[in-house]
Amino acid sequence: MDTDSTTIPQETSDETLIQQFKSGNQEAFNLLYQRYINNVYKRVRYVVPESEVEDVTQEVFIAALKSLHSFRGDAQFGTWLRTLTNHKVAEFYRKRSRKQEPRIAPLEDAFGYLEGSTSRMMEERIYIQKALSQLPENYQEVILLRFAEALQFNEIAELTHQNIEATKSLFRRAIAALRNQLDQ
Amino acid sequence: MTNHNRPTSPDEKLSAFTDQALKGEIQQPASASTDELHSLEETVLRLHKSMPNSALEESTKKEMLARLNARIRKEQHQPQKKTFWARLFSLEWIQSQYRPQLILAAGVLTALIIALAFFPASVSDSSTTVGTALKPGNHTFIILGLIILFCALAWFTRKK
Repeated sequence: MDTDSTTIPQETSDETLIQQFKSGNQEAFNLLYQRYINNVYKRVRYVVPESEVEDVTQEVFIAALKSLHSFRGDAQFGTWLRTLTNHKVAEFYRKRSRKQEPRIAPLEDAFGYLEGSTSRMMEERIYIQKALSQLPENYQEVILLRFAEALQFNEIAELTHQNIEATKSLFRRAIAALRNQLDQ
Repeated sequence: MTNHNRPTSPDEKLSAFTDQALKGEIQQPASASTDELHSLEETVLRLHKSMPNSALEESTKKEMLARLNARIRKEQHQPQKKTFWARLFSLEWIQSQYRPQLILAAGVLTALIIALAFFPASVSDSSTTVGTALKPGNHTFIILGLIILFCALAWFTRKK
């Protein structure tokens, strides 16, 4: 697979890229990767220790590559990839708990990661990740969609098949639950 | 923003505040410090500040894609790892010429175990309660069990 996606036009739709990939064009997958890497990376970053973010992100795309041939297009590719990301994050924590490692990285891990990030900031991030991980799935999801993926409330409403009032109400309850977790 | 468009419910207010906070237009809670909403706004700001939402740089994306491709190539050249059960039932741990004997021996052993387990049931007794579930006439169950067992063995040891 080449890293340059030059022969396929950038504006090609996901569906077309998937069809091209299924026909053996590996370059189509590279373009999908370029298109979705930010969303996956940001979502993973909210829920996984900093040192593991790239690995988990890569796992998501490897899983996508392996199962894309069976993707039937019932859902949008972005939605499918989001589900796959959630599965890979869950798998990461399953493996971690099998190794009896803590669910969230210990605070010592906060030191030394990310250029430009202070250890105080990393410590805060770990607290927030821990609090997020304690929330019910629908609360986590609405927070991740708004913060990590930067979707607007109307887009979240459309994606979750709710009306916008219900989505905003869910968001407020999710933030209240997060605040309660952080206060504990 | 006109009065008509101004959010009124707490849900609306928090959503509008979040939109502004994520755009970087607001750095402080907007509601009165006594409000419940004030602490929710603080949480929104805390979340936003601690989890920067910056996009990956193009060069980082390319590096990650290169590493992904290298990993995929490496995996393609490595033999696939089999699980313990897959390895056990594929019998690759035993030399191929001995596999039929092993399967036969395992089959006979299992048949013996089953026969022993059901032995009391096949002995006729004057008592009305002993062996009523499997009388000598009901050996069909044992035969059926053996057939299923052999089928299972054949299935697990088939060439894939």
